[in-house]
Formats: sequence, C-alpha cells, structure tokens
Amino acid sequence: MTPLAIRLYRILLRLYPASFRRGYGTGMAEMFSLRLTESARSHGIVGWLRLVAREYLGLLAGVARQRVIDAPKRPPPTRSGPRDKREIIATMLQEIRLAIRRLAKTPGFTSVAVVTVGLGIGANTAIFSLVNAIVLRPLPFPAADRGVRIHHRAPGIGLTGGLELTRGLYVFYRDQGSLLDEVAAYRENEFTITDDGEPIRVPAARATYTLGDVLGVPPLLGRWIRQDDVYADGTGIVVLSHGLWQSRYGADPDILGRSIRIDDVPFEVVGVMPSDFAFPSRDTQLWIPRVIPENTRFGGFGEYGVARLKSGVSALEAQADLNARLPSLPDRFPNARSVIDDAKIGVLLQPMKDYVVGDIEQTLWILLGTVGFVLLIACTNVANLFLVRAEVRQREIAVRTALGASQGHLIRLFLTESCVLTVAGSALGLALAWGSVRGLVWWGPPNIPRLHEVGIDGPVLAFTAAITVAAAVVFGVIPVFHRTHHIGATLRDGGRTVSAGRGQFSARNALVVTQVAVAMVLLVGSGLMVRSFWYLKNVDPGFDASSVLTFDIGLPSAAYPDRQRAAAFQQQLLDRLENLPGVEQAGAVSCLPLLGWCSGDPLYERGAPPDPGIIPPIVARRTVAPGYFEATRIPLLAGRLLDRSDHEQMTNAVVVSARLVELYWPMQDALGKQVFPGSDPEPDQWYTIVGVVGDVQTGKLSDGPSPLVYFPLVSTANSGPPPHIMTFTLRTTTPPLDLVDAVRREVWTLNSSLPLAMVRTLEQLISRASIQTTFTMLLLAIAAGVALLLGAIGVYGVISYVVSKRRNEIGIRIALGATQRDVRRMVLRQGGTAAALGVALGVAGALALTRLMDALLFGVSPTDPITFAAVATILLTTTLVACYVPARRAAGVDPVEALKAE
Amino acid sequence: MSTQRPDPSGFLPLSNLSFHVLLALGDRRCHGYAIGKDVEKRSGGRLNPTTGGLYQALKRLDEDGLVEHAPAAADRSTDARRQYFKLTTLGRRVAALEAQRLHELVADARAKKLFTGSV
Repeated sequence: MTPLAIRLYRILLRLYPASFRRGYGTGMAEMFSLRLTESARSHGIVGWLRLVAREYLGLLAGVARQRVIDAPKRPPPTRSGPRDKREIIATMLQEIRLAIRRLAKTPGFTSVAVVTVGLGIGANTAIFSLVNAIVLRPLPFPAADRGVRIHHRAPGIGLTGGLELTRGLYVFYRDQGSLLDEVAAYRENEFTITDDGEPIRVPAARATYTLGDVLGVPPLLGRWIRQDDVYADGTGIVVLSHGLWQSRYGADPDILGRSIRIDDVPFEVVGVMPSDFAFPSRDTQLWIPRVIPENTRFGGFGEYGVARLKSGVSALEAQADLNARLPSLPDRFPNARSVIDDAKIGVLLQPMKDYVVGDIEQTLWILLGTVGFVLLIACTNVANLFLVRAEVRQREIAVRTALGASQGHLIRLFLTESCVLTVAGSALGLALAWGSVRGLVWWGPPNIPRLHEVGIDGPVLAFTAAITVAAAVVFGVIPVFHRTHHIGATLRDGGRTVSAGRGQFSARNALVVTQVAVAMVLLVGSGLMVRSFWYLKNVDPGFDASSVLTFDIGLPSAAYPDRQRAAAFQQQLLDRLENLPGVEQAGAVSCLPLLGWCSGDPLYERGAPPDPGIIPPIVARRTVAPGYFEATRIPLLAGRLLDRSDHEQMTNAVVVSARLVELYWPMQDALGKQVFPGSDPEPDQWYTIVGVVGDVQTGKLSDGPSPLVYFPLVSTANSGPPPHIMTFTLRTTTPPLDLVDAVRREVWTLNSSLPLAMVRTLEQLISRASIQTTFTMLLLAIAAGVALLLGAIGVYGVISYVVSKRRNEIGIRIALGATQRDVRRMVLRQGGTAAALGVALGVAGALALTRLMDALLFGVSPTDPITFAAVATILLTTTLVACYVPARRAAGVDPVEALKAE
Repeated sequence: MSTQRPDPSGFLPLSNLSFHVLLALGDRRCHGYAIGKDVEKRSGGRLNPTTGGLYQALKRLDEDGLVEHAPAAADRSTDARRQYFKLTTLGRRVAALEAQRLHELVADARAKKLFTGSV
C-alpha cells in the first residue's frame, strides 16, 4: 500500500506550479514517504490511513493556495481579482472543513455511504485497469500499430482463416510486398538447455532475422539475430530472454559470447532481450535463427508470419495488394499451383493487437459495463440516503434560507458534502482495486493476454477521478433538486407533517424502480453466464480425466536422429513407467485433447480420388504410443486399438475417430479402408483403418470434436507427427501429482539430461479449458450479487423510511378499523408495484443488452426464457422480503402512540 | 539578491509555524522531515503541519529571504541526496527579534503578575 500512496502523492504533486515543484517537489515527496514509513511502523493501519488522508488534503490545500492565492502578482486578466479568488478559496476550504465536521457527526450514514461508493468505484477502477492495459494501451513495440499478423483463408477447403504461412510465401511476400516494410516468419518450439545445473525444457522461437526489424525492439545486451547467422551443422547462436538470463545465469553481465548447450548442441549467446519483450508469447525464453533461403521449397503451412506495414498504409490496402499478386505465385513455386487453383487461398492481414488480445476484449467491455451499472446502483442508494438526510434537515435549511442563504449557497452545502464523501469513497475504492488487481495478476489465469502489464497507472487514476466526479455530481445534485420549496410551511409546522407529500415519494419510487431494473439486467447477464458455465462443465470431453498425470518428454534430434531411435526410447520409458507402483496404465500421444488442432492434413481414400478441384476435409493427426486410449479411457467403438507390434512391425495400421467416419463414410463400415494424409503415396504407404474410437474435444470445449487420425510411432510413410516430443499419460491409483518424483527418477535412469515439461493432470487441463468462462462468470456473479444486495438494501431503506413518515396516517387508519393485514398489504403493495415496474423495465433492458454477450454464451440463447423467469422471481421475492420487515413494523403501529406523537 | 537590505523588524510578528521553523533551523541545517519532527516535538504535538503545509511555510520564508536551500554538509551527519534548508543572516536576525519581542511580552506579563514562572 505504501508504494501506491507515494506514487499517487507524486502524481498529485504535479498539480503545483512548475516553479514550486522544482524547488520543493523532491523534498516533499521524500518527507511524505518518510512519514508514511514511520507511521506504518508505529501507528498501525488506522494511523496510517489517517496520515494519508491528512497529507493528501494538506497537499491539495497547498495547491489551491499556490495556484490561486499566492499566484504571481500579475494584473488580473478578468474582473475577478486575486482578492476575490482568495476569498473564494478560503470559503471553499472552510466549507470542506465544515462538511467533514457535519459528516463526522453521523458516522453511520457516512460509513455506509463511503463503503457503498467505495465498492462501486473500486470495481470500476479494477476492471478499467484491465481494459486499459489489455485493450487500450498499444503493444510494447515501436510502431505497434503497423504490425500485422499474416494468415490465410482457403475457401476451396472450407477455411475462413487461420491457415498460417509457408516458407515459399514468406519469400514471395518479402519480394512482392511493396506496401510492407518487412516480413518475418517464426516457429514456436521447445528446447532443452543442458549446461551446468538441472536440465530444463523451455519454450523458444526460431525466427528469421527480419523479426527484429518487424518488431523494432533493441536488445538489452548484445545484438539480435543477423542475416548471416545460421543454425545448422551442430552449432549456432542464441538470444536469451531477460527472465532466463536472470534466473539461470544470475544476470551475468559477461553472458555474451558464452556457449550454452541446447538440445545437446553448443550455442553462443549473442544477445539478451529486455524484460518487456514478450514475443511470440510471455513464456518464450530463447530465440534461435531460422534460415529460409531465397531458393527454398514452397513448404507446408507450419510457419507463423508477421509483417510491418509501410508508414501510412492500412492493413486492408496491403492485403488487397498482396492478394492481387498471389496468382503469380506458381511462376516461382510450380508445386503451389493447387494451393492457388484448388484451395483458392487468399492472404489476411490482421492488426497484431487484435491477434494478441483476441476475444477477451468483448468480455472486458461487458464487464466494464456491468460494474458501471453496479456503480449506478451504488449512487442511487447513496442519493437516497442523501434524500433522507435532506429531509431530516429541512428545518435547518429553511432557517438558513430565511436568514438569507442563497440558492447557490445551499447547492454548495450539499455538493461539498457529496464531494467529500466521494473522495473518501474513491480512496477506499482505489485501495480495493489495487488489492484485487494484485490478486488477479498473482492468480494469473491463463488465456488472459498481457496480464503482466496490468496495474494502476496514470490513465487508470484519471478514470477513477472522472467517475468520482460523476458520482459526486449524481448523488449530490438529486437532493438539491428535491429540496423543499415551501420554506414558510416547513417553518410554520416545525418540521411535523401528517404525511409526506406525493412528490417526495415518487422521487423515492423512481430510485427503487431504477435499482430493481439495473439489478435485473445484471442478474440476467450473470444468470446466462452461470448456465453457459454449467453446460460447458457438462460437455463430455471424450475421455476420463480423473487421476491422470501428464507430462512432456522431448528428445533432442542430435541424440535421436531418426524415428526408430526415438520410438525405442519412448517405448522403453513406457515399459518402466508401467511397472511403477501406483501406475495403472501408461500411454503417450503427440498432442493432448483440448490443446488445439496441433497438426492436420486432408485425408485421401485409396481407390476413391476426389473430384478434380476438390480437397477432402482436413483431419487432425496424432501419433500414439500403445496404452494411450486405455490410460485416458477413450472408448473403442469398432475394430481394435494400436499395439506394440504396429510400430515394431510397421503394419501401417491407423485408428480414426467416430467424427472422421461420419465425415468420410457416413453409414458405412470404415474398418479396412485404406487412407493417406496427402495425395498419391507410394503403393506400400497406404494406411489401413483397424479401429474406430470415440471423439475427444480437440480445441475449445465449445467448438465440438474434430476428426482425428491416430498413427503408430513408426510406419513406412511415417505420416504421424515425429515421436520426438510426446506427452505421457499415466492413469494412477494414487493422487497423480504424488508420482512426479518417481517418474522423474525413471526418466533420468534412461537419460539424465531429459527434463519433464508441462507436468499437470488431465483435470487441470479441463479446468484450464473453461477458465475464461469461469473468470467471466465469477466476476459477473460477484457484480450481480453486489447489485442484488445493494438493491435490496435500497428498497428496504426506502420502504422503511416511507413507513416511518406515514406513522400517523397508519395510526389513523388503524384507529378507524384497518386490520394489521390491511396495513401490511398496503405497504407490500407499494413496494411490490415499484419492484414489478423495475422488473418490467429490467426485462426490456436485458433483452436489448444480453445480445451483446452472445459470443460468450454456450448452449443457451441470450433471451433464454428460463433464466429471465428465474431471475425475475428471485428479484421480486428479494424485494418483497425487503419490504416485509417495514410492513410488519407498520402493522404493529399503536394508534394511540402514533397520534399522541403528533 | 537585492542590494537593498530589508528591515528585519518588518517581518514581525512571525506566525507560530514560521517561528518554529526558524527555531528548528537555529543550530543546524535540516531537511523537511526533520523540521516537521522538531516542530511537532517542540510544540508538544500542538503544531503538526502536513507536508504540504510545512513546505508552504518554507517557501514563504525562502521567498522572504529568511531561509535558503543548503548543500548537504561534508561530514557523515547529512545525506547528500536530500534537500536541506538553513537560516540566512536575515533569518537569524528576524528570529532573534521575534524572541526578543516574545521575551518582552513575557516580562510585561510578569510585571502584571499574570505569569510567575521562570523562563
């Protein structure tokens, strides 16, 4: 807390005139921080808070003095001379002091109002700090607005985007892209660092030297990859991330020129990137050159591409320019003809920020809107408190007016109080926001980009200041407009009235209606999210996630140059793991479910060539080691599973998923069919389908399963992804993570330089897959809960107040023969009518607003009648319960007492 | 600085806070935090200006030529990074005159038997 308070103090210091700041700014900041540190040590949190509040007020008073009273004595530019200003400021300071004194006399009112406003402002500040860091702030690259991601659509094979880049296209765009400054290609890999110390497996990028020019971030030490750097022949150069340099090499300033072993190959360190450089991802620890020569082959769509637009060129212009040139691609790469003619690819340039931020942007805006509503409810509650307060003080105000207080003076009276309250509330809110943002960054849910950039900074403080002013005005002005206009009457009857006027009640009813309506909208929003979450939790992932440990083993290709050797190692390891106590079944796969497409190709059937110009649907490819299906309990639907003999004898057997059968051979038997991922294989390379297994979710839970083909570790065509990087899946009889040490020992008996990477359970994988929905649901539910609570409190407050004002009227009614039931019903009817009106308005608002969240929902429509009905019921019940307490009190009024009090 | 020497008595009477600040700087150079502590201690906690308020007073005294920025002392008693203040000759004379004025007031009070303690 102390650093934040000091930072805010420094920011506020800027309000002083520059000359003052130059002379005394440093000293003041230093004195403030010394005092704060001392106070935190000796006076505890209360003393600390008191000191902070006092110091801030002192600073602001000083600013007022410097800016206005002691301003350099220039001739007055307008009719208000320095003397007038001096008086105004003095009056203002005096009024603030008096307002604080008045508020301190009603601690109940003051603390409820401050906490309510604090919650509202805190929630808004916290969410805005996310919006600001993730969506609004440019990416941390120079000229970030000119960076684009290159990908392709291919309507010929049904792809609307997401097809990445090939080596050939990289060369082609570099030559032909006259509207692009520079183009870069990269691949994401993982490498094992094996120098002194424990071997670790780290995410890395192999990037063309041009990536440095595209991003334009200078290294912290040394240099970036150069054109003449190569990665071949068992040696190379490497650029380290700031994090790796610090954690593994102790921020050694002499790191440049040092040789480190990566996948058993010596690499020379030539540079270290700055700490905020996070490309392609925050996790990337190494950058190794990727060399793509001018005479490259066309290659597969396995590269990622980024480019920098020429200054003043839009992404769409550059995209149109490249697309116009694509037809000449086969002149340079003859084997790319089918890519143009059949797949009909077209290039897409996506602003880099859209790509990095992704679909969370919409979620964040919705959340910001939501907490905006919460603030609105909080403000109406406080406005209502002010109304009550204003009424209690009607007599005081009437006296003031009678003694000559002007309209303006009375407005100032209310506004000063509301300003003081909101400033206190926003200080509390700022503290809450700071704490919750810290908590969120610490929790660090994956799938939320740029989370490490989130913090409370200048724009966030400005935002808080803006909503603080808005809130102060909203609930400061309402009571002013509502002020009594009948001074004479108020003075005459000494503040006593038989019943309050109609106008006062209708203002209150309007507040109740607003609160209920806003709460309705929020509850519907969070209700829809809860239902989506529920459906998502109930999606069958296709496997049994309980008690399965998974981890990656990556074999360096220097030590395991071919598939046979890699497969032999993996099989040997599997045999050892199966014998571990606590392991029921062990298997391995090249890419786990829920992690995405990983790799894919169109599948061709022997003897059934597709029509010319048609490319069959793309299927995802997996390499599996025996035991995978048993360990994950993916069910066998027909035929048999792959076993050890399939890769040892190279049987060319494959297993496919039910979805693939449905797509290729609906209503037919797939067993025995011969297939190949690509057209025209050698005759002995065709694969035979020997089994059909159940579907698994490949990407997002909400996307549904993709067609899959599972290859053995080794076969004649070796079409499966290479078995060098495999994810092991161990079904265990003990808690999975307890086995990690035993597993690591087994791995190290075989090869002591192999680290275990990505150790986790399948259950963790599933909860990660739904984390964004969980996150949104959680925040919306909290917001809606707070809205419901504040709404209920608001309704209770209003009805209680109305009942207390109508005591004598109720007494008369009872005296004239009304039963307790009649009185209860009368009060409930009043509350119920307002609530019903609020719900009706809320339904209309929700129908209009929940459309915006369509993309966040899963399995439920934005106008889901069940959710709407349930929420309306909850809301009406809550309001009626809130009315019931004052209704009972009203029914218990003793007519004699009530009339005597008059 | 102007060549015309201002009249020290023109600054009297000093405000309570100003006099305390001059007293704090009477025998040594101080930075703001130390002045604040000194003022609070000497006044028995009755006078405890905020940072803003204290610097406000320092600025006025600085403009009037009673105090000035001072470099940190060469010995180890001060920290070279901090901003120090010290009394000017004028400030010293003003402080002395103010003390004299207060002393005379106390003497009057004693003469009228309003005050019997010793100073």
